Amino acid sequence: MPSNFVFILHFHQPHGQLKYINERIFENSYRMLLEVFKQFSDLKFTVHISGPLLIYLKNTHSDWLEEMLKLGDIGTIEFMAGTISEAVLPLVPSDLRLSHITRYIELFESLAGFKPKGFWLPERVWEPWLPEVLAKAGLEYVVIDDSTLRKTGFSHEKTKYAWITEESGYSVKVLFIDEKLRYILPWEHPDKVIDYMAQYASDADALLLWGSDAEKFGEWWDRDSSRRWLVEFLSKLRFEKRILMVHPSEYLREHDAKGYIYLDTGSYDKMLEWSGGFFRNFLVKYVESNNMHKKALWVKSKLVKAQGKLKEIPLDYYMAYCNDAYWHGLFGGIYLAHLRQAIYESLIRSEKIAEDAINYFESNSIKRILADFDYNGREELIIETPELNLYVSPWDGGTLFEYDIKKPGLEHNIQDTMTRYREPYLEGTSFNPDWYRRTSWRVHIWGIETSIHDWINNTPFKDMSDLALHKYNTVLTEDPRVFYLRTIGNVYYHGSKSASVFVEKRVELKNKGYSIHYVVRNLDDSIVKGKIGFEYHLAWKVDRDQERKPYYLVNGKTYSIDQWFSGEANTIILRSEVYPDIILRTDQSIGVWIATLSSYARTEKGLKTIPQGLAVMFVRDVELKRGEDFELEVEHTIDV
Amino acid sequence: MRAIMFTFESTYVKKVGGLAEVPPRLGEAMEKLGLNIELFTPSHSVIDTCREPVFEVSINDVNYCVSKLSNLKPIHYVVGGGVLDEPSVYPPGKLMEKSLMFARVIYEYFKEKLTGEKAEFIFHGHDWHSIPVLLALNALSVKKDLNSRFVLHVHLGTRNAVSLDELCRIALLCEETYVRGDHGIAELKHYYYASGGIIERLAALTVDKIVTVSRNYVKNLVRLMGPDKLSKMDYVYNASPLTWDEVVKLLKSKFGLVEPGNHVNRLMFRDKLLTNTIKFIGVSYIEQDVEKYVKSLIAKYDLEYNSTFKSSGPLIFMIGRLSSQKGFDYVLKALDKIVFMEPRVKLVVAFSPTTWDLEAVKAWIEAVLSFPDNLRVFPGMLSRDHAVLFYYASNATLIPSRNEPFGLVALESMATGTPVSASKVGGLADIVLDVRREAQNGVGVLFTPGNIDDLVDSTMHLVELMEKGYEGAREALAIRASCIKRAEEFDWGSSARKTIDLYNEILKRTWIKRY
Repeated sequence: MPSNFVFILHFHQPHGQLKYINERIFENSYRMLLEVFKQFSDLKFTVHISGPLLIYLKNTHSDWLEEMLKLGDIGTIEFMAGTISEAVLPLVPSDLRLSHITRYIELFESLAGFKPKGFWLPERVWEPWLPEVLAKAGLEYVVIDDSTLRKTGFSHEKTKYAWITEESGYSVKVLFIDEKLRYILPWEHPDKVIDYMAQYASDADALLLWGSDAEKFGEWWDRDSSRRWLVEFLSKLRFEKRILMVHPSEYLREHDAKGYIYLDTGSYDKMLEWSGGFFRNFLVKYVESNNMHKKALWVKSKLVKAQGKLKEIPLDYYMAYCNDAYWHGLFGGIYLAHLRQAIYESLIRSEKIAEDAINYFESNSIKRILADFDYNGREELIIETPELNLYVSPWDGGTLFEYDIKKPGLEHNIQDTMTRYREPYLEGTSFNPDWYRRTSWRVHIWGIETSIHDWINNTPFKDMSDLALHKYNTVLTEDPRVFYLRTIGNVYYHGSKSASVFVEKRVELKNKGYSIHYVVRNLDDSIVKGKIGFEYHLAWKVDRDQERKPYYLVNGKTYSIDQWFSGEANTIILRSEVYPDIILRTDQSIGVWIATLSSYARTEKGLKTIPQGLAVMFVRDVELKRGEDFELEVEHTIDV
Repeated sequence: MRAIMFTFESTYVKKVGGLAEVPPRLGEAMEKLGLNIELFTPSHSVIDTCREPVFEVSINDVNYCVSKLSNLKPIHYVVGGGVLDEPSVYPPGKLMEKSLMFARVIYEYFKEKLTGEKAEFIFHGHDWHSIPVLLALNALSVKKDLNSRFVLHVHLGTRNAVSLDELCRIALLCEETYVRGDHGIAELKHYYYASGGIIERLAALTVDKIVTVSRNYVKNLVRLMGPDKLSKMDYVYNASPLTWDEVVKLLKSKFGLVEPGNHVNRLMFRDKLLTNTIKFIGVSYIEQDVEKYVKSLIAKYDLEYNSTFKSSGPLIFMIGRLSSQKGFDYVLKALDKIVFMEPRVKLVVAFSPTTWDLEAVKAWIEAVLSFPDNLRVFPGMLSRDHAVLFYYASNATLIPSRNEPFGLVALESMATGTPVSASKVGGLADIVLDVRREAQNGVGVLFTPGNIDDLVDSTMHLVELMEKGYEGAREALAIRASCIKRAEEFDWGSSARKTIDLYNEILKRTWIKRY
């Protein structure tokens, strides 16, 4: 009496994936898997292709997709549905969760001619309200991890069967992925895997479910080895009397759900570890993740106003919820600049569509809003024009944390760089995490001996002032193009307060960007001696189609982004083949440090250095007596 | 009936806040109704009481004197010497000692002066600083079998603690001292333990009447003193210290303004005040240490606190003490938003800091550096005339108090025809009728205390409304008229009549003699 085995392969590439990576994986993994499925068409495979990948394959490899769908027609493959952007649903506003699923189903149905019955839960992030949404989408079952069962307090025994769970009178059946099986397949010998699977052989109702990334075959593990492994495994399964390979729908048809169950929030074991037990807390761990998420909410409020004027919410907006850029685990995730960029591009395009639809700017070409954008209980200053957005945090050193270019075709958040966080895998290395968010307009007073190396690598106790993290007052003027940020901070020598320092930032919107006039004034009798620094971060646009690197020019001389620069200058240009020049120009020749801001992130290919953007620090040695000012004007423009 | 008041502040001796106005003005109004009032207050080193004393006593080798200021109405007795000559009215770390020594000297005074007297006495203490006096005179009354009644007038509840040791050591109010109270005549320790050591609860047990300054504030006192004390509580409103007639007279005579009631004149006056006159307005300081600190801070930041604004704009005025109670810190937090909503706005803040408030002074002065086009801070006492100028010229007076037993500032502002934006607390909730609910009689707006968004939205709503008044908008002009009318409803005559009624009510009562 054989027990049942469900083999689910989840195919996914994120929104914004680099073209050459998509193609490499397609060749090494997806094409190989198709061949295996065909070779073993008498067996039963279950497949989920994520929304972003489905769109990509539809546009670039429709023949492959067609063959896969044919395998569906003949009963080899059961396809599962997902969300259109592979969004982790709890991050999606509640009123858009259902449409995130139905948009996927509609797309899939347009290609395959039928609606899937099962649901691949992105990152298997389960929350108890899900049954209602899934049932409303017409889905019968969902696959989650046995760790969620354990977290709720149930025994592993329950993993073997299907259960019904319910919310507000809506129900869905749940099937559980077996963690142990997930860890040994395909990493152990097929015989060992099959022996493990055969443990329930005496129970005809028992179900053993493997559900994981298809890319394990051919991308994580090389193509030939993984193909060899699969062929051996599947060949043995063909004749294995103790195990019956089934589709989930078939299993549910033949074996009823055992009863009803209610489940705690959960995900797979590692995800619980990375997120601290609850996925949403990635928004707490990474301020950049929260930034994207809250930008999505900000844009949504505009889309809501545009309802009735737009046929539907743009697909781009849905794509902005693609989960990969919002967290970090085994893949680079949030540390991957090209993924974050894709999110911002989609959001900025959607924002523009909404603004145009509702005539958002009316007669004002500049909107100024004080709002708690990031939901941290403190208000940020949002400046919006039809061409750009500036998001300013008065509470975090009076800094610029988002700078959106909205010109069609050039949508980009120039400020989208990444703070380097403390990560468990960096413990014991010489890595010093960033002590402040790597955004622009931050003012420092460095010790006179401080070097570019100290700055970019966070040598402790080099900044002698508290200005970098000080709260600034936001002062608007009658001229909508101009506002001020002002504060009084302190300079410390040997740990004792030595002087008070007044800082003013006069920001003025210009045609192609903005300028900022800094005044730093010593208010005390003690001399302020140090290196005044004004920090900027510029995110270049990633070349998704080709691997062409950006470079920068200092006073006309070209440097590769791998090179550091330390010298006098007044013009810095960040140049790439795919985007207009991003320019910083000062009103005087001044010391400049330039370095690439690089993260060190764990990826499926091991620890990698991931460049985030160009870090620029204008520096000047000063000895300010009481009442003396240091002034600097910096223009930050895009050459469009 | 001899009515004798005790207060730590009198406007004729030393003023820190609104308290200084009430005892002398209420006393004067009561005298007009035929009652003789005597008022005792510490000297705070304003007056050399030992030069022509009417009474002298040496306690622990320190000489204390009482001098009589007969030219004042009511007659003032100023008590000086030792800690009573501390220039700070409320000296940090020494306030309880000052309050207890005030009681001790007054006890000695009455012990000598009241020999054989059979009159009916009303001893009327203002705020907790006078509670030891009431206790001391209570003990004296028991000892001398005086026909006396005690009234505690609460302008601000504090929940201060006092120890039996302090009461005994400084004020000679020891455990075995007999006092009279709700449970009859008993040892002080009996009432002390029943009070839990909270001085206002001790007073609540041993006085005949607890009076406060607004109906709404009675609720706060019930919480402070216990629900069973509600039956002996009542309120007597303070009165507006200013009338429209006085405002008109002042503006005409001292500032040459013709027709102050005309809205165009008012606007022109504001523009001139902000862009010119302001630079001639100075402050005085009530404490030397504070003056020194403020001046050094202003010099450090190279500021002129009264410098003219580059341009005129809608004006908001704030005046008062800098204590946490007044909630000025909420406005510091709201500055970004206020300017965000109206970049032309001008906020003038006048406060009289004490040594308790130096951090807050610094924060306000630093704010001027951040908001040079929108904010001026007068870091000391404005003269009454200058305060009237700012009230008159403003779109609104902002009163962001955490709690406010009465709110004299609201009445002063309204007397000049300027509405107020106030926290919905205590007396302010009694005085201010919200224009958003009381279309005919509205005199301002009320917001939830501490709610920055509500503060900003309400205040700026009022500011905008009143700005239209400068163009002659009827609603705004009606609000100005309602303000003047509302202020006139609060007059000292009514308050004096009610106080006398309360005196008569408690004199009718008889008391249990022994516990």
